[in-house]
Amino acid sequence: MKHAKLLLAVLLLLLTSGCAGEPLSGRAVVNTLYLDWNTTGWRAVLVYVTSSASADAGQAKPEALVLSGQGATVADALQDAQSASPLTAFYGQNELLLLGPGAQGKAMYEACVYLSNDSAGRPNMAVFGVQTLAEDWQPASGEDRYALLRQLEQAEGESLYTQRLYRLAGAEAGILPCLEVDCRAGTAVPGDTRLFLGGQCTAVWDREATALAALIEGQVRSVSLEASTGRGPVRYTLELPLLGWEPSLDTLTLNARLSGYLKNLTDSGGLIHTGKQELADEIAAQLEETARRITRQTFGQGQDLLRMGFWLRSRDAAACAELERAGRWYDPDRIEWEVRLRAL
Amino acid sequence: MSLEKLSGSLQKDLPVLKQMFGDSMDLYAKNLRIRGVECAACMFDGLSSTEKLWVILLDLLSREGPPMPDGAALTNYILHASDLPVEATPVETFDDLVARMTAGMTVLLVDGSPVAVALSSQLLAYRSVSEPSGEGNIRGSREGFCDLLRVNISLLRRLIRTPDLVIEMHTAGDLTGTEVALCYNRRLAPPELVEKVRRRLQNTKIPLLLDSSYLAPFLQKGPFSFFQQAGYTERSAAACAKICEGKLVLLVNGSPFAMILPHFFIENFQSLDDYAAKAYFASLLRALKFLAFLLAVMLPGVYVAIAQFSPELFPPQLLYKVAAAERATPLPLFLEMIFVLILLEIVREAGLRLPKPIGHTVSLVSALIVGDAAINAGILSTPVVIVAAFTSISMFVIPALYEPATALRLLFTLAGGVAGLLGVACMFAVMAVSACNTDFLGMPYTAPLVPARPGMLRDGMFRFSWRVLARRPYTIREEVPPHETED
Amino acid sequence: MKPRISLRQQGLVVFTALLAPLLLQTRPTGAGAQVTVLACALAVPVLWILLLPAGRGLAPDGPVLCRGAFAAALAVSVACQLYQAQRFYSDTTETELSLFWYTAVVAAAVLYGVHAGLGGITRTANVFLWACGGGAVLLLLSVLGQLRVSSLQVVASPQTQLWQALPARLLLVPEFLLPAWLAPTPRQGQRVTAAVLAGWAVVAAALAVLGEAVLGAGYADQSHPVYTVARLGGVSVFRRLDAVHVAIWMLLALLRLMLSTWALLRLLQGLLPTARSRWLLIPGGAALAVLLGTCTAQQMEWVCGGLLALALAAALLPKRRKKP
Repeated sequence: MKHAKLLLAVLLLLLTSGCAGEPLSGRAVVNTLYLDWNTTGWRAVLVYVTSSASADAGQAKPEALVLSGQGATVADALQDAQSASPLTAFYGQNELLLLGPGAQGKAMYEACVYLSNDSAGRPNMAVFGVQTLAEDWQPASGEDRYALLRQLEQAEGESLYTQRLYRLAGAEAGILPCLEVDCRAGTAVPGDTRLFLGGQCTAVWDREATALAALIEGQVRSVSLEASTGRGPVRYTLELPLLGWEPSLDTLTLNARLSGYLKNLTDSGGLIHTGKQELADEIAAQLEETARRITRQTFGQGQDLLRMGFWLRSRDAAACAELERAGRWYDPDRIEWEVRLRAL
Repeated sequence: MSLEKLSGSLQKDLPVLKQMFGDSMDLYAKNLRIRGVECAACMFDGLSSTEKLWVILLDLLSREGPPMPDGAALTNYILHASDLPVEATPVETFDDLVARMTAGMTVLLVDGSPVAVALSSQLLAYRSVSEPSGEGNIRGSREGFCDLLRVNISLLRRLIRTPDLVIEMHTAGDLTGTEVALCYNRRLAPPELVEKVRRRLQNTKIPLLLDSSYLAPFLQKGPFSFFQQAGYTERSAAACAKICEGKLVLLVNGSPFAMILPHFFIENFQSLDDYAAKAYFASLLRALKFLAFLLAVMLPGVYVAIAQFSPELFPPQLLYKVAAAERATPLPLFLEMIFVLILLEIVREAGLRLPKPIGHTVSLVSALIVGDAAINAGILSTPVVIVAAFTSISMFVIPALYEPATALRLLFTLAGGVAGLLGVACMFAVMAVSACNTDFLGMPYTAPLVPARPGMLRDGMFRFSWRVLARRPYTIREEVPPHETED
Repeated sequence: MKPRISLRQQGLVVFTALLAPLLLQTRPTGAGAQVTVLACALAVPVLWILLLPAGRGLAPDGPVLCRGAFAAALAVSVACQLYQAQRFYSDTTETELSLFWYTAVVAAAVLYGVHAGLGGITRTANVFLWACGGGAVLLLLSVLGQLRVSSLQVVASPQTQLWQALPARLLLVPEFLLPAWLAPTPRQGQRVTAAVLAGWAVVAAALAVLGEAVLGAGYADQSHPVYTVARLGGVSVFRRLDAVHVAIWMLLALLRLMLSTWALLRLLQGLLPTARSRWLLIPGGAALAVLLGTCTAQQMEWVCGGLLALALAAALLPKRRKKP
């Protein structure tokens, strides 16, 4: 009896101690986070999903609302945005970080470090660059905003290359895929990909270069591209790409071999049936050139963003370290590309 | 009960008998003269058949012969020389006399004889052997135990037709003198287990015994546990299967539920059908039942914990629906869940106790009022009702665990509502410790899962085919600890 | 008369308890996967040799100083475990649970486990290990898409970092001595200790490799490295599963607390058998309270390690002679 009374007392204390947690209805479930920076400081826009009250959950209709704020730091801007609503911002479902034109570059890393360290958020949220400004995030109605959110999710899924927050946090360089967002029209589609080194945009990659970068990182298994060939523009699908790394310890070079199959070769006249292998060889040559270009732009600039050097270091770490100390490691010619494609 | 012997004088014994039973109206005592000796036939009307009695007595009376010199000679004749349907052992004490009469026999008191004769004239009205209402099976025997001990024993004897089946008779209940049969296979049951259960049974002091479950607290000792260390079955085939595993089965007169000792946690997820179906399907069903148990116990608590403390676990599409539902209802989610669970228990109890014709109304009322009107009125929300209903349905898959699951479910909900997933984890730890700390005479309740033994795969969580089981059938001797040391 | 607990079960319960500090890390490791693997491989034989005297010293007729130091280490460890688990839980969830309320919430489960005794705790460890295994499979599946072999950091000369990482791996925890104390003979205790150490090293190395394969160079700087990996994973529509992993890891923390508290009480029963001698608990409790109030978790770990080192050193003292 004594034990029961004691347990009851503890239970009552617990119930009244405020441990009951935040009710779900008091949270603003942030779906997308937009950050931008200019000389006045940081601008934050939180797009969160809510719904009308309905005991029958099947009748509930979602709508998206927008909170914006500004501050000297990312934390201040977020706090300012949250204070505009009585709800508590909840970042647990936030999967998308959009960086405005000012936030891309040096400021990008500060934002990513802050968000990565915040345990409420997701360190693997997808990061995209956009050209929209904070003021643009005011579509007409809640349903339009919700439709825009769905478009953003779709665009994220369609994007060839996905950059994660934790990879950008604390790094001096990074690859930032972009989205073309029109808040008024409620559309979002994948755009090009930007390469940032030392806080500056040093290169803009087209779809082909982006696809190659995604292939090297193992993010995609098949990709549909368009190539300019002797026969004109040709669309194709690269299936079952296999990337092999063969280090040569004598010369301390890395032979990168990309092989795969080309399907659905089409031009303006439809499916191509003749001369497919010649086309495949031409496309392979173009991919080789693109691979060398992105190698020059990343590895050649002292930033092994695609982690190609691992395959050589893992074989002879001491020699590679010696080369690095001598300043000769990041030589783009150290990685030799060979692309072999077969047309189906 | 009196161990006083019969005096041998009708004039003394009959009044004592009538006084013992307080001149009950169903006590039938008829004086008669057999072969010149005064006798009295005593029985209980309703337990014994007057017609059968008179057939026996008339047969006896019709036999010609010289008068018997005394009562002892007559008794000796009836017991050893006649071919009448009498019990082999005579009645010597009043205790024995009462036991036999209440078992439905007629006791023939013979003047001048220190012992009486028990005639087999039983005609007890009892519920016949029928299919049990619970423990539904698709295949296998449809016979279930009835309320009469002798009939239940015969059901076991019919299925185990080897001399290894031993049935010991005991009595328990100071006010009821209820017969208890301890049944086991003497080759398979561990002797030390039999001895300990027998001793505990003999030392049981209980005022009345109307069901086998009354014995459970006396037979299973140890600290508090949510789980029962004794199993129950209404099916004779299931009881026989347990006997063939080396377990002990206790049958109590007046109860159709046989108690099985020891009982393991995993057996709550097994059924007779498992052994009739294909091994892969039986294994699938057992795993499904185990999952149903976890859902039944933990789902409300986990749901409340996630909604209040860790909503990131919800898929995005579900999250806003749950938030909308929570926003629309007046009660906090935690209290709403507790309220619905208690309501479901009330509905279940009402449906159980009401007469069958009205029982259907309960389902209708609860479905319409609770399920529909309360949601339309915004008092309850659909996610909570769905979770509670799903929990209840899951519970029906394992009715044997209904009691602990009901208590645990409420505790999990309290824990989840107060402390989130940490509370759920603590409650899970308590449940795990409760199950793991329970044992029956050294055999862990969680055997053969924990500690893991080959029996876990052979016939525990999964079941191998009969070809494998036949090579090495599972018996509880595998669970008896090999050595015992001081703690 | 209770059934004997097999050596395998004893090893299993200690191994399961040791998983808790590996998963509930609250400080950056400071070392990459390659160095961690080497450090773990080196630590196992060194620790095993250091722990050799434990069986002899912790026997009922062993030196009182040995068992006393072990009991003190357990007391400090229990306090440290509560503190670290509470801090981990508060850091990783939105719930601001103070140490007092955290202790209040877990107290019922821990005390119930202690009351159940070693048999109950051991069997419960099996259940928790199954849950942990399921959680590990879920974790692996959820981060499979983000696992890259090329993210592993290759260190040209790991020796420098190895000597920096090794002391952390050699820090003694009470669970290392438990197999020797529980086993019937010192030789059996040494076998179980070897198995436990090997299992512990394998798990530590595997977690480091997994973490670095996902997070890359950033793994070594994470405050909660394994938790960060768990935050990244999602399966199907369940995009975030870290709360599930935290709940499972809390089970392991509870088990470790149960085991440590049970061992502490058991030792105290042997060291302070009379009611009069139990008054010695007062200064002990006061010292513990001062420690909690003034030291950080890392400092308490070092105090615990120091006490265990003292226990091992005391184990080399001659045994008590029985009075004729």
